[in-house]
Amino acid sequence: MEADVGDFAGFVEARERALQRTAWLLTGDWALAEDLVQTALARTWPRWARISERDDPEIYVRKVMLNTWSTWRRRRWRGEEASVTLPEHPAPGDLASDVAERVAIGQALARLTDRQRTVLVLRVFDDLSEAQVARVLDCAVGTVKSTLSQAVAKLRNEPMIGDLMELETR
Amino acid sequence: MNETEMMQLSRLLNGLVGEPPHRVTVGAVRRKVVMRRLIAGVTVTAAAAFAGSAGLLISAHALGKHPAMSVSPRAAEPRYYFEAALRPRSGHLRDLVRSTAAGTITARPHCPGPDPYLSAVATASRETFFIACLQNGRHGVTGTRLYRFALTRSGRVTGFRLLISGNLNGLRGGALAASPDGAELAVGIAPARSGPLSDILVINTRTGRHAVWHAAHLPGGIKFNVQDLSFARNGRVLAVFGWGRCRKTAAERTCKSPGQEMVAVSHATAGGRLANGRVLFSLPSLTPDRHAWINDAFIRPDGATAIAVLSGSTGSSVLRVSTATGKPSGVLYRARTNLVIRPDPSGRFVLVVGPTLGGDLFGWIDHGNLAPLKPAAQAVYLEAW
Repeated sequence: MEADVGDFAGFVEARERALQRTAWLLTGDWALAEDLVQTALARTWPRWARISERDDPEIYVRKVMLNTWSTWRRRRWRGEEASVTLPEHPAPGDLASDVAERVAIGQALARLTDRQRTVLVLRVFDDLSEAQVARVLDCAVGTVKSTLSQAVAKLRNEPMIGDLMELETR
Repeated sequence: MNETEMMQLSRLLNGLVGEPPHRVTVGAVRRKVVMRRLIAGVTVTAAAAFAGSAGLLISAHALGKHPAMSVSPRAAEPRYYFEAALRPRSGHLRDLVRSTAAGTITARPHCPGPDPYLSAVATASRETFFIACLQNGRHGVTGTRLYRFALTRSGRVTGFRLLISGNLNGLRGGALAASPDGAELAVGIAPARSGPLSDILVINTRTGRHAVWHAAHLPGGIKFNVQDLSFARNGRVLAVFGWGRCRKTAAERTCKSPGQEMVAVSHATAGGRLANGRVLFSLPSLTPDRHAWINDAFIRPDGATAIAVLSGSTGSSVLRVSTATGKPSGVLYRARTNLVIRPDPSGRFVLVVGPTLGGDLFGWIDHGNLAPLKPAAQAVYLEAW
């Protein structure tokens, strides 16, 4: 393991923030996001020599992260319950419109299914191609397309998000 | 979703996320790795202690009035199967992986290269597949290439690669078999443009080291045509099912054709002459019917039993055969048609096709009944799981 420390440390240094941001969009909690990224990296480190030979090791790390998250979600002992709102509150002093926008998108994300949210985050936020998302999720490209389409349709139906998206399109 | 919408959504998500309050460092990950190993160690110790106490309980239970219950869970049939089937309209072969439950196509593995042709397929545990691809030149087959791939949990192909020593130039390969762990692969071989498979190559898939079993020139003027290969006892025993015939050059009076039989060699990776192997059973040991024949035969991983399909004018029977006595010890399935079979790496779940390319029957044997596979009525040419 020590032989790969330099390479691995470079990867962690370069990509941990991006991974944490993705993890936050999945979990809605910074502490949980940090733990999720640490766990995914801890699982990949022992196999780093093999993983780094792949064309894109980050895809693999993201895959481990998503699998870990879905395992955590399945475990009842976490006592996690589906929530209508993400635990996000406006900080005092924020502009009202910014807060409203953030809360609206947060609530809209929370209403998506796990699968829809994951596909949306990977495709839109992480800017992965449809083929790469399919690789991460072990599914067909067509499934990615249809899931994304469903997710976007749901978001469009949210009054505020729909308006925001339309404003930009004009 | 168009580009503009995507950019807008991306901006919204970026605005929502903000920056992480803490950084994830290599030191933190290292501590996590150490903790995971410690927890794993404690869990193994605890599991060993639990297993020990459970073993004591079961032993005590067995000594009492009640019989000890089996603690091993029922194994399930493989989740995916591989088939090479004829396309209904074009008549070309297509290679597919389908899910056992629904019949949906999950992958389309294919032989690389120009105008290749899949000649055989074998499976090992963990949904690992080996395929033999014939290479075609202007004047026919020029060689064979052996590939390995595995399936992901969702049935997609992963790790498709040419085996070390898997490039068999000038040879035609078929009748593949893999040891359950996938470490050994046996392939029947013959010169590229002549005759049936007459020798067997056993390749170590990790190192590429290989050995040859010769069956083309057996004593008494006999040659052995290889039909099915299978491994037992963790790849140590190789069973060869085929047909021993008198060579054309053999004197008629001195040569007596042994007919269909299964021969086993105890050190599969050693190589040598198949004549030194032990005959496990032959057609006359299964039936006195002179008009019957054996379609397929495979040894099971434990080496104590084999599975054979005995066919005749009234149909086929899938038999369990004792390798100690060479006699049938049970009937697994009967049908009024000609059947071919293919067991899974555990030897418990047997695929049945009948008749080949006819598509009347296609499924697996489940306690004497045929559990049909979807879609039904296919022109299956090769199958494995």
